Amino acid sequence: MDQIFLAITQFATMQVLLAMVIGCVWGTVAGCLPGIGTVAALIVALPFTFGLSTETALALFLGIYVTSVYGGSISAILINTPGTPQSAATVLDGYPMAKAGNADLAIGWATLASFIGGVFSLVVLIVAAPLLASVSVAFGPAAIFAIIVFALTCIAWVSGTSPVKGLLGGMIGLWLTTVGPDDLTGYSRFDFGQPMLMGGIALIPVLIGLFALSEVFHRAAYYFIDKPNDVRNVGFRLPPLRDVKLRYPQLLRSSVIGTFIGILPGTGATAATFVSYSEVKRTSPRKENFGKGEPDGLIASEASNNAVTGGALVPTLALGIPGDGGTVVLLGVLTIKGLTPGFDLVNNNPHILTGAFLIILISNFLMFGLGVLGARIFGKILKMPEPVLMGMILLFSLIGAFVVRGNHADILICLIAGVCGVILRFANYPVAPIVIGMALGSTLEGKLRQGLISARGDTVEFLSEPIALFIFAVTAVLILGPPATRFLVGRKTGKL
Amino acid sequence: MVRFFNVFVAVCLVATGSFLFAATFGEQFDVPTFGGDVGPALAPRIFLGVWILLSALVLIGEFRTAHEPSSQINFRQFLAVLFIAIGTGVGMTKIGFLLAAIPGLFMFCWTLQYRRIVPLLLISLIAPFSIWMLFTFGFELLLPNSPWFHRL
Repeated sequence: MDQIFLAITQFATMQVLLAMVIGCVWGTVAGCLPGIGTVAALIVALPFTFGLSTETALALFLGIYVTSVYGGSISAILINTPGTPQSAATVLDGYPMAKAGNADLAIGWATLASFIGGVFSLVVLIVAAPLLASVSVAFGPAAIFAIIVFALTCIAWVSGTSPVKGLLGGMIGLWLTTVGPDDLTGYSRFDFGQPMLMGGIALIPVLIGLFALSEVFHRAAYYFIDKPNDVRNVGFRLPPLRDVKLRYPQLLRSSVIGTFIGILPGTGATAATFVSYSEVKRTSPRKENFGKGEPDGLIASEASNNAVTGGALVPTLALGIPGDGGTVVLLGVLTIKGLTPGFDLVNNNPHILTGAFLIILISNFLMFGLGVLGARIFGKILKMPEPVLMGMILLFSLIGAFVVRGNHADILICLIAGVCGVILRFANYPVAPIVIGMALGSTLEGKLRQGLISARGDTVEFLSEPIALFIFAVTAVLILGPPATRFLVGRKTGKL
Repeated sequence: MVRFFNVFVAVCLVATGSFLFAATFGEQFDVPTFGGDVGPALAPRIFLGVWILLSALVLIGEFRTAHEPSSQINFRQFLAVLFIAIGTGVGMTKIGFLLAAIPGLFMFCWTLQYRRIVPLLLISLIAPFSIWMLFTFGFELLLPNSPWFHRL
């Protein structure tokens, strides 16, 4: 209880409240605009971190993080284009509802489902994050090494169409962290005599280049002037209470699916929405109406994708292991502000963690309020010219890369990352594993070397720590399971 | 064309990985360790070894996969935007944020076929100037400045 009062006294300021409102409005608008998405929305706000206090920066970023997923549903419903990939399943029933003249009711359902999903996952976050962080103290170097390997494998496995390309991305990210001075010996590695590489490569410029700049370049490649969007029947109508009572099992099921898929590193909201959609479609008494404007379909998508936000924060805050691009940016913000996620955050800065929980809760309420009051305005925002928007993202990306260290070289690194990112995108390589590899690389290398030193160089002793052994076994199943299944099925059907 | 491009990217990745792996056997990595054979080359060799293995697998896969024809790419526009972005970024490091961002934003939007000249001129002037004001006087964070006009 003391922590709650302490958090309230630190977070209940005008700046924090204002930052939260700005974050929620920008998050919803950015989510609503097709092509921006959660990561770009967070990146645009990144330069402001340096001028804000820890509490204010957290309010801004958590506000954006929580609401951007919801924003994607508005464009999915109104113009049949998901604003974020996480809202792809919302199109299936949201747009048919809008076409049938029920756009206001569709936005009402999406808002309510997002709110319930968000709050449900927050409850899980409040319970699970401190618990997991406390347990993490028992993890030795080998166990942490194994967890990071597991996380990278999960991320690679579910991102994009090719797990091998995903794993390769993770390796590229891990290698990038070895550029510059070695933590243990101080010797510089892979600098090739270039002063800009001697200090190492910072995460933020690469992250901005790979996500935001490469997105700008990619969209430029496919950008043709479209006809004006046909936005109709925009408004907000809350569904009747009896309908909510009728559909609460779907709401609850989707929230549970979203939260627990969110906890798994790398799976993310897009996977959660489709798992939830198919599960709700399988169990709903109204399954024959799916795809024709059935609110159950809309609930399945929206409750689960917002529930992922709380779920994904569990490993991020408890272990410092981000699950996707959005949580990497949040992790970056925490690091910039001198906070170390995990045991340190839970035990030494518990008021910050409690404050973060409060911000997420209030952001969910603000998101609901924005849906009620702003639905008409968002319809107008969808008509904003895309070139101007992309141009602003370009400027904020370059500023964001620069202000991290005030170093001109970071602008160049960001540009190089952007060009490499778009080339990799064209060749169907997912870029998220690179960034997540970079976020985890130093810890992975540190724990590997620390563990080997304490095991006197005996690799078998290092890897055979019980917790690590169990996690390695799970990782091996994850890697070898699908090819082994294919092999066995092929042998059975004689199609090898 | 798609296959050629994907194969080219995979070959580049194999070559880059091999070059970097070879570099870990150079003088720069030949340093004494604290026991347990955990020198500065240990982790890079593991990462790069897996990198080479995976990129070779990708390369083999690219030869075996049937590639779908690519969707319509506006190649000229893509290249123009790429060069404008690089020019704006490099320009910021040489002539400062404001002097690089104003023409950069204008050319960027123009290239993406936004041709409403008056709003475009206003946006190109007002947006970078507001950002510069906000960071310089609001957050007191200096953005890249020009060699000629003090803070600008």
